[in-house]
Amino acid sequence: MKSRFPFSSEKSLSSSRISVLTVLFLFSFLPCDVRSEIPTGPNTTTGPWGTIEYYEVTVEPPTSILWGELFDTRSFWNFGEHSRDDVLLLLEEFKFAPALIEKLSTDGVWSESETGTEVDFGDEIVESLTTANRTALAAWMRLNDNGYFSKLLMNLEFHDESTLRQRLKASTVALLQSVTFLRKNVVSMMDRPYLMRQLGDDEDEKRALIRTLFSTRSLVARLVIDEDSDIDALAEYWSAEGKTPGIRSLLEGVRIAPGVDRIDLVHLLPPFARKYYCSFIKLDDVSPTGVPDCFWTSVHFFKARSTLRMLDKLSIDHYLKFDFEEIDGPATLGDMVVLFNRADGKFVHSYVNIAGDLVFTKNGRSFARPLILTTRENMMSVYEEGYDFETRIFRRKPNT
Amino acid sequence: MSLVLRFSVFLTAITTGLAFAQSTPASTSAGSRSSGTHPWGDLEYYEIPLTCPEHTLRMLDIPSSQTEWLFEQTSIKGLRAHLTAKGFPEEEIHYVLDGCTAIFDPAIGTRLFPDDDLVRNMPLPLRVKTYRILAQNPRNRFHHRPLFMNSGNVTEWFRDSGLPRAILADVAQLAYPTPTGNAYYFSDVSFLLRQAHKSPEEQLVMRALMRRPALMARLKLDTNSDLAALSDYWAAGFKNKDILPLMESVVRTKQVDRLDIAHLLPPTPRRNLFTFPELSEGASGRFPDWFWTCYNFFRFTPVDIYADSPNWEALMTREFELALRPYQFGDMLVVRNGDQAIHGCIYVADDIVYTKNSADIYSPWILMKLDDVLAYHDMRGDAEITAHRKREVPLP
Repeated sequence: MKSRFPFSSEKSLSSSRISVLTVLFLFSFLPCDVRSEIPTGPNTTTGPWGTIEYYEVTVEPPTSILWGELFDTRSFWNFGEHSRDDVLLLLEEFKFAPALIEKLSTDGVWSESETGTEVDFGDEIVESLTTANRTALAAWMRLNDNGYFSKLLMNLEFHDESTLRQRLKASTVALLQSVTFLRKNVVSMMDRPYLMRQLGDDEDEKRALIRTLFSTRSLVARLVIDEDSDIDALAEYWSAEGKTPGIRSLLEGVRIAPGVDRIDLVHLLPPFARKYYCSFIKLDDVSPTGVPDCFWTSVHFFKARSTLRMLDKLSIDHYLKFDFEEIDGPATLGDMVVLFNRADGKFVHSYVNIAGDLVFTKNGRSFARPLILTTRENMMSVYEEGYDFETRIFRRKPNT
Repeated sequence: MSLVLRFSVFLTAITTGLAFAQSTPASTSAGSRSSGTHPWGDLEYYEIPLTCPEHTLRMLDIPSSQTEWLFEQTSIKGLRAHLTAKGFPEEEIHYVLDGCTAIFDPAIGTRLFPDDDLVRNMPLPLRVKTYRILAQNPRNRFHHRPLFMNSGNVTEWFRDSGLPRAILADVAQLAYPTPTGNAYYFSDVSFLLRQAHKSPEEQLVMRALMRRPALMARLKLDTNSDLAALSDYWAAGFKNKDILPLMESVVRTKQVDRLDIAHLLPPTPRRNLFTFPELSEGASGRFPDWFWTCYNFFRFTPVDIYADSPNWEALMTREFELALRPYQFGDMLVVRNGDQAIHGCIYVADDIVYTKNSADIYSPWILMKLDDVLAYHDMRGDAEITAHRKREVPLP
């Protein structure tokens, strides 16, 4: 039996974003007696870069990089500088039932931390929340406290319920079902501590759940090369104005090698991207002042090796104004695309253009999110809820 | 004798323009596959010729078209005595020296300039014997480190190189078998340059000669693959565990039936595979050599350590243990002539190794068959391999 995703293989990957229907399917409990498969291509993109075939894969963080905080069992919300009374009024706006607000007011443990008003709560509160409550709360959190929000909220990228069932016990899948909600087209959840509490001493299941929650969609892609391929044109594109000068040699080698008609895109990327493709950040990459994120990934793309300097507390203009120049587009290989909040000009996200709709990025700062090749639409699906972007394209200057 | 016979077929073939793979070392150019049950799974691999990038080639000093042989002896008498001691009968000494113009330089030795007739028509056994002696002096640049061809099929080897047929015929005439007989060396770059009268022609010859034989390998994976067994092999005792998530996913993905081996390498070799060192790689004063390549195979952040670093053998003892066949993914194979380590490479699977054959910028990080690596480096024909497996925990 193929995937129960409501789309056919003819449709593009962009159609594979998790939809409302998908959620329904995701947590349907239809019998599944056949091994499931991830929805696959082949999808193609053709342009100055040649013809690329790409297939979707998911990458889970290895157990060894899971850190203790992921298994925390403390459920709490942080409301920043809002007072307890303000928060209780907010909860009414979020359509919390009066009884639930009352319970949170009386049974919740309210405190003031360095980062603002916090309330701790237990299983009963979690289990009383409706999907609408969670959706409204998440929307407010995103707008008002992005730092806390990014730690609290998880966007889930697994493909179908049968994939979940292969990894998790049925009871765990049911638990997960009870706390997920939609943000536009993205399935999200923010009750990881609750799930950890429910799993008790079942450490294996906890690890399996955390790995599953952090499943990240990426792509394996191949450039088609045959005797008719225009190596000059391909070399011009993939050399990125001389920033990856050895590419022509490889393209020519593949073209004349009998039996080889495709080359994995990993070989056509610059050294940094090759090293980190579908891989996770290592402790070598971290400093006390920061951890790698999308901007770190974007700026490093053409660099021979990573540098901790990128984690110093510097304005993004430190890089954008010296090492890069802004261009009108269209974006080509290696161009950094930066999304700024139109209202206040703040940086929101960045990624590297690869070819057509394919981009290289890292979503967020989490150690458990790998650097990936993905489609722009898949990457942007998490930014559809209430964002208004200004998109600017930057090209690395030669010899920087 | 067998070498001579095989080579005669080689020569005949080039003159007739026929394919003559039957007379040559096993070639992987049309694709090979390790079928059957292996711990690494089902591999297929293809040979691709890698050419130095243009910007790297431009840094290459084009040699004179006048062939030069350098001997350390500073007199004709000393040179004759040296050749006699090396087993040259008097008639061979005459044959060689009579075809040469000599300059005696007290500072460096005897510079012999053989004429074209001698270079072209020297009998193969004499060429092999002479060039082995020349190889001992690093100043005989292309004898000390000859160009290497793992195929006797010159036409195929230089496919699409643009080299004219006359030059291909010269290559076939002047190439000589490696000591192991598995491949061919070529040292007469100067001779070939006689036919290059313009700069683009020089570049054409040099670019073609600097081709490196690399393997592109793919692991076949499908939903029937034994993921546990494959994971066990490629994770190398958890030293390479980070590749497992992608492998797991590909196994589950029906339409991805092959995964490039690059995805199964640790980050540092994945970064370097199929690349030539950029000048920035030498910013610290040294370019990576074979030991740098091997020692850093599993290291996320490479350490600058080289085959002549004073502590390399101590590090080997502390961090590696001796291993026996069957080799495992990530084993460091050190090629030794006697007690001297002359090269090292990393075992990947199915006798495919990850190697950087020289510290210079013309030597890429590639995958090769172990036999080819041995043929490339074993200039004496008596090399042995010791295998070293990285310890889970270094000795204190």
